Amino acid sequence: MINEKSALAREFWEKGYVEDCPIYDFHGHMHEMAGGFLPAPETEQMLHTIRRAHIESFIFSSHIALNSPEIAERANLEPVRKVGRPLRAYLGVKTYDADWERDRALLEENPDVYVGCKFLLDYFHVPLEGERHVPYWEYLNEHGLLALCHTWGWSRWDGPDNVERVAKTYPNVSILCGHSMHGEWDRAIAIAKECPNVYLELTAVMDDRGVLERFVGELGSERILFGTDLPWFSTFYYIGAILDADITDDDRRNIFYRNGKKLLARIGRE
Amino acid sequence: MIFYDANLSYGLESNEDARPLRPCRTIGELRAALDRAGIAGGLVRTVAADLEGVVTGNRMLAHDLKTVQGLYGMYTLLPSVTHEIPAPRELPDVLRRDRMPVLRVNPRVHRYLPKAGVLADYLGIAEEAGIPVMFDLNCGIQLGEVWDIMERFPNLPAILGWNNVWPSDRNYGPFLAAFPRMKLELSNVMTDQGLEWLVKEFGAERFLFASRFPEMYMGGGMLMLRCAEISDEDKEKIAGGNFLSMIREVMGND
Repeated sequence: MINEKSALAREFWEKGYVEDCPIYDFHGHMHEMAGGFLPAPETEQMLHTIRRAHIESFIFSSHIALNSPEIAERANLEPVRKVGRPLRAYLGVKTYDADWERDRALLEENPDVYVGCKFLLDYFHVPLEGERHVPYWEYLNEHGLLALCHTWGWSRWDGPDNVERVAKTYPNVSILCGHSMHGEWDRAIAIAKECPNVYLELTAVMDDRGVLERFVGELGSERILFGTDLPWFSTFYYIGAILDADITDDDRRNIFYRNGKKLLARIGRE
Repeated sequence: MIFYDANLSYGLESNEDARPLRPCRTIGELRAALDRAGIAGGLVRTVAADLEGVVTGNRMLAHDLKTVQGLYGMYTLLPSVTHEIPAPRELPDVLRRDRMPVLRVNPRVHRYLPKAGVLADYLGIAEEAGIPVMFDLNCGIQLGEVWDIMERFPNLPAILGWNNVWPSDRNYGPFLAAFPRMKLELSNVMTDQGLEWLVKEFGAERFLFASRFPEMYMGGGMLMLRCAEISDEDKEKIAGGNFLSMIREVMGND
């Protein structure tokens, strides 16, 4: 049952999905990762979950695209080209192998694949606003695209200060804060309040009971996006945790799909 | 499915950094949260055992358990050498009397060496009498220390409480392979299609539904289990069947 006060929880409990409440997942990966065993990381295996959970939009950046300069964007392009919707990708910004001309060509040649870029800077140890990233930010700003950034509290690479700098410098980029500056929840709320282009994303947030209630209570639910790191975390776990949270069903619908639909429509990629 | 939650706690943590954002102060609040989620009962520890002290915490929990239905307690162990808790041979009767059929340890908070030899008398009784021991990696014990203890007591009906959400089958899988009576509580197991893989590899009998409420939500694991691609029989076992079988080993048909 999960939450006797939520009609939406009762509906999800029946079938694991609700027809008029699709899922928009803004934080996905794909393929093997070095630091852990993922039972279902390949495209077809992930599509199995995506279909079962009625995920209408799934935007990802492959682990390989982020970490392997040899294979790189093929790992993003091929699954989207083969499957089409609901898959779309973020171009993985490989700071350690940054080549803006190469990456600009990829973005321009594949507007149906890419909705923006993914920054993973706690892993690469270069700040979000670092010099090598400037052409990426300028391009995203010019075209009004998305930047999914891994963000973590107290990080000198992608912590709240870094987010605030890029958000204010590039106001036309929708900055999706993956993990919502994990741990520095109040800073995340404050920055989102001050910068209307900042969105808080829920991967690795939903295992910490109470954060979502704080976000919704202080920021509202309209700039919170659903995400799971799939194939890391179970979509069903994340849906269940959101259904359990002490927020309204209207808030849940905003998070599951309404905010995502609006955002993609605004950048012309819905 | 009838759910029992194998890792719950209540009480007010004094350390602000360690306190859940939404604490659960009393066992009554905990019972109300379980009712809201539709969970029949579960296994609970009190924060007091790690703050005020083990004697006080065990006594408080025994008292509080008398005020609610469906909940069972984790009894906190100390080395027998200081005689602060009942002697090993007396303990099984105390556990049954106080409805606390699972032992737990927190060596770092209670300041003793996390070695098998330090708790050998209690662990020997537990292994012999089928009393489960919770090794919660969030409670002052590390994975390598648990492995060393299990090597000394390989038939201990232990419960492993994994302490973070990172996909970690490479860490806990070897425990399940090596120690046949060990179970894994699932509060931090949320990898996509991970439960299906674990059940296929080790069998449903080895897993216990758990949430770590109030630190974590109950609903996440509930919906994940409900939607898992395993048999209904296996779901029933994980939701609560395995828990009840484990408890009955100690309590009888309570």
